[in-house]
Amino acid sequence: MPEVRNWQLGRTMAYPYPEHHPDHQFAFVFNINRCIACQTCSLACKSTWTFSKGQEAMWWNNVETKPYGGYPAHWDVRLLEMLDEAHRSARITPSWAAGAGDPEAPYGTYDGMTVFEAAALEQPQQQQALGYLPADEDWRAPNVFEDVTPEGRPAKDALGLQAEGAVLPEHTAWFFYLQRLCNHCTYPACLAACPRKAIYKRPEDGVVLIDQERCRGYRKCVEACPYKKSMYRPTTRVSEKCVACYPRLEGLDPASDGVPMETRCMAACPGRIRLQGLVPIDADGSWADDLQNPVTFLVRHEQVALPLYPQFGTEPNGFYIPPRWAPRPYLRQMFGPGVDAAIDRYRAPSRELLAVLQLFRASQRVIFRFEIEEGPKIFETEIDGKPWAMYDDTVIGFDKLGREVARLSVEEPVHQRPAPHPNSI
Amino acid sequence: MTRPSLPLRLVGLGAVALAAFLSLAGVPITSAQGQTLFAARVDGALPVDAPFDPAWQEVRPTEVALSGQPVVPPMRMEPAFPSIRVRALVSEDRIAVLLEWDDPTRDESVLAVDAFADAAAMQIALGDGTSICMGQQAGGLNIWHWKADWAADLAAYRDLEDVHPGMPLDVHFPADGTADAFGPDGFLAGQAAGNPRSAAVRPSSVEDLNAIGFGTLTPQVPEGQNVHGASEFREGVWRVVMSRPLSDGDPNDAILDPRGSAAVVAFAVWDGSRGDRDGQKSVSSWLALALPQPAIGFLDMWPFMLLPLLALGLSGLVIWVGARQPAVGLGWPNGRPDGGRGA
Repeated sequence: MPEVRNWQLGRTMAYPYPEHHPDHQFAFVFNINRCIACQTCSLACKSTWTFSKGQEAMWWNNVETKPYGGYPAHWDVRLLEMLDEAHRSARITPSWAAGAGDPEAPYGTYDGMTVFEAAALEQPQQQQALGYLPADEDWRAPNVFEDVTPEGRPAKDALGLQAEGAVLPEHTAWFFYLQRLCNHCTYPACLAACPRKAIYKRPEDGVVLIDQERCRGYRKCVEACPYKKSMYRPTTRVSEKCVACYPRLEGLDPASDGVPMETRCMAACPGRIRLQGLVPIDADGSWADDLQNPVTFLVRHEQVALPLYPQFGTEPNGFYIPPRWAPRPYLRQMFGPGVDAAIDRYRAPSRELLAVLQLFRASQRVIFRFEIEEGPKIFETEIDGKPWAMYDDTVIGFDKLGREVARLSVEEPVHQRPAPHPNSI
Repeated sequence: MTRPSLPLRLVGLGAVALAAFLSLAGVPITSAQGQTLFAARVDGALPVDAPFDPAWQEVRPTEVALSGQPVVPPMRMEPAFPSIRVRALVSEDRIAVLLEWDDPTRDESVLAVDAFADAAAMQIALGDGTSICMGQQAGGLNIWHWKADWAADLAAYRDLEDVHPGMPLDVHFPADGTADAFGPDGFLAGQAAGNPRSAAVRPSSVEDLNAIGFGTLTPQVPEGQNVHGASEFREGVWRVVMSRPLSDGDPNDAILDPRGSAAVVAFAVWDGSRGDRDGQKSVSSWLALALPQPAIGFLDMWPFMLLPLLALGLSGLVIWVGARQPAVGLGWPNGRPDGGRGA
């Protein structure tokens, strides 16, 4: 099996196909701290792509409440258990070795097994990736366990209140929302597992698609995708998945003006938690050192956004700013060892980071480049005993053609109406 | 234990000596000859729609052993069934193959995410350079693939409401009656892409396919789908009949010619309740499929009838020509035979 380079693991790993990288990679950053689980993203996707018969239980985009929620039910817990079992049988204790500041190993080096390597334990290797096939029931309740906390539940006679339940840095009564769609992985497990080669990754934007003509409904992709974002459709008897709204990415939407446009789920977000980009990729698969690209800046320079379950080994291209109130061991399991540093940076953001955070959901057009115009200092405080200052900088976003599509200041402009019209509309 | 008698030992020694001599002379004394499936000839129509027709009982089945598929992921290390029983019948212009195996579960639905249907297939080598593992570039395969779900659909198409009665949406988007409405099924991507798996109407329960290696399995175009299927499940036994015209001129179809050499075939079975699909299957080795020579009709005997006629004609000609010749050679001397002395 060929060896491929996975920067999220800081090492090479086994994958059924040799490395071959797109020019740009569809990628996104979600700020979990801001999500209110309104599901507008889920409905934007559903009303665009999965409104037909046979897609009733199909949510290419979903928002689930962690730790108990999951769509399909317990998808991550089940796979984590399987991976644990594989590690136990191989007598391996997986761990992350701290990196030495290698930009191509930002989270250090993972010495455990990926879903591909765990599948190769079995000799002869019978499957391309470790996985399981969820049953129909598992897809039926996409938002079950909404807002359920695992511990620190209100004590009896506490009138629903929990003293000290929500004190930082870690709430005892905690949950958070996890927004999920296909990660359009660099090394997709669905693609690896498809015996028909009906799944492909587009060379122009890295979008992973299922060929609806070639698919024969074997559901190996549903079984292999660790994120369970390949879904079987009984009315066509083949599998479907998120298409990253590729007509919008291609600039074919009438509102796009011919340049790449954010997907429906990104563009619809009222909480402004989402930022979608097309990240330039070098020929060797590493992210081009383009720090004016907002996604590259957030993920590689600031390292404030982290991949979801990097240990699965598919090199997912969705990145999350972790929720600052959740227990760190849980977050480290979910986002890897970069969690503590990412939360620290988010709590006391650099001047540039604070500006770039304003770009979330600022434009329907994909922002390829940003610039910052410096403004005055407007606030000073101490965070963890260190001085921190806020500047009213202005961030400007540009589309693929270099046209300005967004201009926002850190401090939201406020206009106070004169007294004669306090309540007039 | 008694020692063998002297004559018996001599016979044994002789056999060993003979074997040694034959081996030295390069004559093979053992053979790894594969199994042969002999097709029987039937006058008139084949029971292509009746898997339990008495005509099938008149043919002795060939027991074909199955093994797992341990070559390429996704694999099955153990077969679902130890063997299948195969029969073949040939008429003037058609061949029918009956596959029969014991299966405690009848799996005909693929409507649930984790539901897989029973299936069976026969692959026929196209040319000499093929491989039993889905063929290769040098030589492809023609595959007849029967699916229990397709057979069930032919009887009565099963859809989502049959497994989840309350599920299908009653609100359609875009709304019914509007210009861009899709109708009650909405947009069926697989169907719009022309995927035969997604088709609402299929001509047969058997799909006619080709392959030239792993991952290359490709259905023939709709006009090329000419394998007829019939199947029945009775008391834990599946019987599947797949039939096709012997020669159809389609270059993607295996040539099945009773006058030509035997076809090379192999079989595979999928057990839906075990989650079998794709490479997760039970497979056989290659078999020779020997088609019976066509029955000799009266007119087929023309060389044998012509030869005596020709011989008769030739001898008649010789006699006739000889009779017309004056006597020559050792004939009488001049004048009459008796020299004029006789009467």
